[in-house]
Amino acid sequence: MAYISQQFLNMLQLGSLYAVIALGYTMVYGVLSLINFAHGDLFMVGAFLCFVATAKLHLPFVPVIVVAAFGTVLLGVAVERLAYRPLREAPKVSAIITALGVGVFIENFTLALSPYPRHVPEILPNISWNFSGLTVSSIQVLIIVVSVLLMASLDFIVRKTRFGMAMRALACDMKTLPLMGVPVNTIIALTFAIGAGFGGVAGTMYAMAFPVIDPYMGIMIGWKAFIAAVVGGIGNIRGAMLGGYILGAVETLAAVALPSTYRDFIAFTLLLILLIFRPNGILGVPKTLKV
Amino acid sequence: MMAPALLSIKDLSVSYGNIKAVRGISFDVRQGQIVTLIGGNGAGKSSLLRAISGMAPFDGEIQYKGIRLNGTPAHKIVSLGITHVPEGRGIFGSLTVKENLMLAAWCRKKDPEGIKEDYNYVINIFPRLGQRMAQLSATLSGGEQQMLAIGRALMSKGDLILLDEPSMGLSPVLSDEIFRIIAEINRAGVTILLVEQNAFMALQLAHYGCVMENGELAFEGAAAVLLDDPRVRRAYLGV
Repeated sequence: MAYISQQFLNMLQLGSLYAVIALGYTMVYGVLSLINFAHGDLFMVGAFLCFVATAKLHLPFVPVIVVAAFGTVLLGVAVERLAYRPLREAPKVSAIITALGVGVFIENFTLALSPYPRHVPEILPNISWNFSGLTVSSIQVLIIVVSVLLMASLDFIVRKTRFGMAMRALACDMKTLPLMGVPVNTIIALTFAIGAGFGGVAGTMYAMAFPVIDPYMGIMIGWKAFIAAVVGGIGNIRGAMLGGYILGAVETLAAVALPSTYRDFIAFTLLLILLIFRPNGILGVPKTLKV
Repeated sequence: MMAPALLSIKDLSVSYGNIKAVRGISFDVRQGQIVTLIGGNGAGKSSLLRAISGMAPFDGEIQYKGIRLNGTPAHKIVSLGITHVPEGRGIFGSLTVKENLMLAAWCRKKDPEGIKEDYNYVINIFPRLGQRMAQLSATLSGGEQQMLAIGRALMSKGDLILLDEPSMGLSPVLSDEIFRIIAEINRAGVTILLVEQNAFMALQLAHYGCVMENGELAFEGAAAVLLDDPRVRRAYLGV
């Protein structure tokens, strides 16, 4: 029983991280139909900002999160403004190549500044509680609670606020939106800002749980989060959350049942099979042509 | 005495690459009038509207209430008081009917009372929309979508509404209904620039008409005069 609960907790921790990162992919795809391949690298930058804020600036927890979130928001908005906006009318392939290029640029820029893996010092004392065999660490609780709060606020913003309404309208028909008086560039920039900020916070939380970080850490996690977004139905906010937890569950279960080297192989096989039967993802709907 | 020009267009041209859709057009839209632009497919009517609402780059000059619109982005033009109901209606299908209406009031953030008033006005003139506020707008019929598109224009509270083919794809009964409402909105003080394929209906409704051919202004005049003009009758009224 304790063992099952333990694995369940691991699933929630991993799934929360994937879900928060997957939201960045799905939001940008939703509004621009662009796969922001640099998003995994924003997550990495979040982890490095966490390192700088703790190891160099010796800041406490809350300012660390603020530095990481604010820094990645700035970077995300800058990437949109400098790299994606000039290509908005260009063929989608060009925009995707640009996204890949931006990712490689960010990785190598970070590599130039920090050629070695870094060890992030402990920010919060890691307390463990023991409930009849089940070990719960404070970092696990933190990751799950912060992620759920972020997701709940995003869900609220998208469904209930003016900005969220504009974002959904933008996903529906970008050409008509300016005729409503809505500044489209502002809405797109805000969408990137939120996605990037989520990536940055996820990077910080990841660095707290797994404190050895390197400039390439965003690649694999980014791919997985992207796949989580696709599994849930890319462009769909709740789909990204669902996909994140499904991927977290599949990976955890695969590692329980089989040698840990099989983990990614099993996870990706299951996801490929799922996509054969649900090509638009679990909550996705096929895009209908606009008349 | 003639009302002052609300919108003044001088030597306007719109090009898409090498194709000139509008070639050097000049005309005025006077305060309180319904002006209709008629002409065949590809005459440049929609391109002209797109230039006015900031959706298409143009050469020449557009003045609205004495303000030069050249280079003004589309979303700012809405806040100046020009609302464009685009061809094909441009309904946001994944938003509810009410959300579509509220989105159109984007520029009126500081006027919640006015928004409420206009919301009730929209329900009043389009009772069918009133029953469908919580529905996704993609589920509306063509006629209802056109009503929603016009309702949105009312929520933006423009002094000038540009209507692009409001009768397109609608049954004659629904077209009549839409035209009746356009007349009502105009009586409430809104100036209207109406692009229509159905020249007969448009000229009956309008005060003034402009006939476009191949991107140029072929001729213009009072709507009643154009209805009797042999050139208009031959080309557009089928008589």
